[in-house]
Amino acid sequence: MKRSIILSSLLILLVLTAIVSLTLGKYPVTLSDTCLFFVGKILNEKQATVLDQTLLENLLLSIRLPRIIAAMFVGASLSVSGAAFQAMFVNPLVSPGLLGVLAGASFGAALGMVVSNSWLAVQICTFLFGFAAVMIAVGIARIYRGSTILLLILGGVISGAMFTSLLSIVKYSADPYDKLPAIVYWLMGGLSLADGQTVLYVAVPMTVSIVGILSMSGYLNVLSMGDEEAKAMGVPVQRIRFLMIFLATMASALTVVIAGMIQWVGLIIPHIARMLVGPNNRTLIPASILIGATYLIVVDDVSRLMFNVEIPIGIVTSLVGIPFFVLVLRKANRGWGA
Amino acid sequence: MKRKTLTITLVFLLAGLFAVSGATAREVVDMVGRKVALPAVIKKVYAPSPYGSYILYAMDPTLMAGLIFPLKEEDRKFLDKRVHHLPVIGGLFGQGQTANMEVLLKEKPDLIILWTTGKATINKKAEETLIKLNIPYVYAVAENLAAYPDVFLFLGKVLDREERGEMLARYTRKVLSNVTTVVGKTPWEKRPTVYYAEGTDGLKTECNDSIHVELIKLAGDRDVHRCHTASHVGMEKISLEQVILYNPDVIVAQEKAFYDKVFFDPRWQHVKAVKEKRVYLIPRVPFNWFDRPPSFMRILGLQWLMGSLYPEQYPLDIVREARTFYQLFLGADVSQEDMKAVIRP
Repeated sequence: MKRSIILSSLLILLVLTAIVSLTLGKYPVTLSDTCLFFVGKILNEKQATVLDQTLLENLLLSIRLPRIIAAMFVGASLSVSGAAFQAMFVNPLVSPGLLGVLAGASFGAALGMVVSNSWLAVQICTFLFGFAAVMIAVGIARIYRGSTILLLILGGVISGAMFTSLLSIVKYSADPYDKLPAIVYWLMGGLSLADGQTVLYVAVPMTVSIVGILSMSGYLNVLSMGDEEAKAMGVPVQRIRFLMIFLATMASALTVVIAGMIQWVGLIIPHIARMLVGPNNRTLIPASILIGATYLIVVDDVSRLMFNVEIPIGIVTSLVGIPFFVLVLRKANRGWGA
Repeated sequence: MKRKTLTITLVFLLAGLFAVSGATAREVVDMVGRKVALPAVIKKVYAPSPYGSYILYAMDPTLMAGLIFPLKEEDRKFLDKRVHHLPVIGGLFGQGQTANMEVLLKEKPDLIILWTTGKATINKKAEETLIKLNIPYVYAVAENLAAYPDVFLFLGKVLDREERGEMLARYTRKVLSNVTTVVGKTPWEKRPTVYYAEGTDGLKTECNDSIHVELIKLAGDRDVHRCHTASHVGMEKISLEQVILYNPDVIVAQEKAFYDKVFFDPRWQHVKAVKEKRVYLIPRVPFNWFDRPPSFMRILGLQWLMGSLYPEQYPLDIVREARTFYQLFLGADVSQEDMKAVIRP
């Protein structure tokens, strides 16, 4: 009972945040204009607005809405991957980048920018290398027999380190007046390239991942007890884990595709959710999704509005995230499961 | 006995002095006021920054000891065959890939040209490293485009290419004074406002006082993004809503990917420059005409920008002018067709 109340209030909060964000922007649009515009859209008849209709449509539907939707999906994807990883690896310090997906995707993005001028090529490259990094991590873990979790984490460390060095090589060889700043800024994260079309075709696989992980949240409870117990309960541990890794990788790699490197969200949001709803993954996972989506919309608002220039969103998430994490750690000290 | 040793030492010292003065035929005062003894013959010169390297190319490509970056494939056909196979030495101190000192010594340049935007920005660390190499170095100073004629004259003198230096300086002065006249005659409110779009999304730009947008300043000073530049790197992020608010008359775009989509992207249709089809893509082969790096190519870039901003007051056949410029500065004969492709890829 309590679960549905919390989740529905989080959902309401998300919807409200999205609506409020729609009214925020550098271009002054009055609240009444915004309301009239949407009323007009719903009733399918034009209302008398102060600003030109097409300009309003452009501002609200083409510029702000895709960004808000993108922020929502990116936040949700990172949080859900983080929550799934934390449960699966039985470790509160795990983030979606554990298996090297972010490092791989960043390398892919940088490589794409250096070798090609087409943005689509950059996006494809980003996605593929995100996956490649995780496959290398999993491959390393499979070579040896032993504690799978430990080997996976080490595999991730190796793969992540490798792609970070490769990224440095690409940066070093990139044209320092032109390509290099572009790479550096992209890796700081930002939603300014999120146009309607990109958001549309990235949202579909992201939804698949999010829903997939959500539907498997019951298994996460079992996995978080440890492999032995899970096996004893008749759960196909390996298969579930790899499916989970696949879904989380897809979601995280896609966040780099539309928003560059955004740190800390996948680490902090699951902790906040856990403080709010407790460790049961059946509640924790949907709560993480909703909080993550809300959080990133708010952070993107800050990045859009704070100054005349936009602040890269990755900087904001880190700056907000770090002090918060210190607070969370104090609480976690008493046992992260409780 | 002691006295004999002293005499011999003195003789050797004197002989040494003569030997040194024999090798250093000339002495120049460089642009920061240092007296530098130059070797009698200068055959190989190294300029560890893109600006210096480009301008060295303009003075005489055969003098180049090496490249800062590998040449891009599309640039090759505009560049002298003799530089195609030069070794990539790299740059110094954040100016590109860091040079390997041993490669540099192996190439044995007779002279190094350092580039600086003013006495205040001289890199002491760079000097310390260079002193150890025992290769003479001179400073060329160019705070802005107006300083380029002096740089050409100075390098002409240093490199013993005085006539060439004078010719390039004359051309530059003429362009600058024409531009000043035309802009001066145009009242402030008649000058078109300009937004400089960088990045594939077109949403990175520069503050109006940045060296990266000096051409906009010269061409009427109507950059829409008025702020103070904090760093040399630049590329400030800006929101599309802000650009719509600025509503610039003209956009100059750095990236083809942006230029190709801006007329079709519904989000940009409310910007005046897009509505009136006044978005211009900056030519960049073999060197960028406008910025990144802001080099002497901007002398041509300035004319291109003026022609785009003031088609009536500054009438210009840009293809012809560009061919003249490439011939004069780069020593490249470019056909009418090829130049059209450079300007409108």
